[in-house]
Amino acid sequence: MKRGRLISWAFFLMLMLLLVGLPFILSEYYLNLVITMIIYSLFALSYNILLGNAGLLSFGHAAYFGIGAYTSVILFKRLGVSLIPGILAGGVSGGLLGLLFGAFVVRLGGTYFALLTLAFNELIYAAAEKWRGLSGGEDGVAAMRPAFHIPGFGGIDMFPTKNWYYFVLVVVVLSAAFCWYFRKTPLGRLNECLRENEDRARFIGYNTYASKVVIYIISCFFAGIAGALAGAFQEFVTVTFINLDKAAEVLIMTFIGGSGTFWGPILGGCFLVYFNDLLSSMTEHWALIQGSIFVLLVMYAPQGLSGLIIQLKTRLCPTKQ
Amino acid sequence: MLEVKNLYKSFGKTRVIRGVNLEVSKGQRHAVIGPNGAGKTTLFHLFSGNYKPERGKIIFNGFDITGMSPHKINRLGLARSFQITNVFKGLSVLENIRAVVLSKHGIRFNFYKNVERMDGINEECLAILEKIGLRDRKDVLAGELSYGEQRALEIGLAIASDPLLILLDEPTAGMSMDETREAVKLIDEITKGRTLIIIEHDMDVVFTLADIITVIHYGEVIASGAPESIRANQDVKKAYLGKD
Repeated sequence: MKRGRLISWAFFLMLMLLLVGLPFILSEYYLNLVITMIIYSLFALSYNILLGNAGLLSFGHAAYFGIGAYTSVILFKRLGVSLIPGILAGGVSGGLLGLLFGAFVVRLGGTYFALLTLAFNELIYAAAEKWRGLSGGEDGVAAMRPAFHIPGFGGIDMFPTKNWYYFVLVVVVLSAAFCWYFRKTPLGRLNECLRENEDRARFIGYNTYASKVVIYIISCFFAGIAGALAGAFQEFVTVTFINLDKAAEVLIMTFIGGSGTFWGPILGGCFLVYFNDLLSSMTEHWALIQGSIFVLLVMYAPQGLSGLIIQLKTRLCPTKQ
Repeated sequence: MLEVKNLYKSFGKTRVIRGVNLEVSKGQRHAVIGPNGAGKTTLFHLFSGNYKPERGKIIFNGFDITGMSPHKINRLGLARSFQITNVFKGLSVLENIRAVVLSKHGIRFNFYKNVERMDGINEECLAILEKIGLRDRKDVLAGELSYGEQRALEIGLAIASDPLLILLDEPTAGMSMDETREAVKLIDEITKGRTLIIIEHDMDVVFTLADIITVIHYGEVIASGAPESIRANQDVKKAYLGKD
């Protein structure tokens, strides 16, 4: 037990060292790719609060990612909001939309939950497409990402990729740390009780509806943060941030990585972003290959990549429990 | 403690509960018996808020709980177990109990404290596990327990909130003779001094545990009283023990 914890910490420290060192190793192009991987890891992590922990299959998580992106970019452009408040506003807008939609969707389970999330996603997509005055319709909105202001210290220019990388890294690591810790808190544990047996939870005194709404809001908040980072990163947001491709993408990422573990979604997010980049430079039919991998994993490794790694580990060191 | 007045419940055109009156006083161990389909479990669903009655009143500890939602009724101090094992199968035994203990202390929406570090809560859970004989099994997934152990956990989930009134729905259902004997001992120990309503088919269990027995037949109370008087009651013999 103690040794396992030591190994975990060592692994974590090495990962952090690697992440801090990456800008010195990688080219501009690959650093940009890593930024995308990190942002999508957070998106997948937020999604897994629903899929992995609550057991809720959502087809509409892009709505919260998208509204986070629109909120931050529009605030940067129209009101000249600075970086941190802009990103936070993206998260808050995701959370508020989560409250509004969550109040409806969590009433239902299974298929109906999935369908309703899909419907709400389409609703937000339609709104973004038609409300040209605010969203720019299909043309989208563009805004430069502002500098990072530290009171009494001045601003740090976010234009150099290296600076922006470190900013994204800090935001995502803090958010991911919360998602990791959340599973150990009473509400996080309750989330798993609800997955296992929602009915019984009512008979031991839990208002399961209110609990699910709160959990939904937390998940949507982090999807909003991820969206805000993605919007600020591309300095441009359009309806592709909200469409069903995006909603499916996060599902596929989480599934490929494995929804059963904390690291699964992160792994899936990194893998898919990297793989898409690799394949799209080789062939224009990369979506076909991505789809095939997804099918294979669903059929033969439903626990995803992290499940495969765990299997491999137990096979390599069979004595260790 | 519990007062039920003229309770009615139908499903479609079938009247399942027809004018049940029942009174359970504090500290009493009350058994509800009756043939299959008599409406015993439906009564528990009505008391615990799972079903809403059509007519009638349910007063619990001075509160009118008629039609209240299950979590509110539970918070007032009424806890129940289920006939078909209804635990959190994918979670450990400790986590099953901890969910109840956290709820009892009103820690339901907290997302900033680490449950592993809540020493008071965890000690309380271990004490409960000790009582139900599952302390050594605390890290095992509930779904991997033996049937008898799962039934013990089922009872544990009902008593962990230290309720004023416990409803046990056929706690020994499906158990072997030995397991039943163990279970009766357990129920006897953990419900000492508490108020209990138990649905049971096994007459040995009923006569060992109960102070008062109520017999339900076709959704109506046909007899209620001390075990000896029920044993002697002609109506009960006809309806329920008839074959003997």
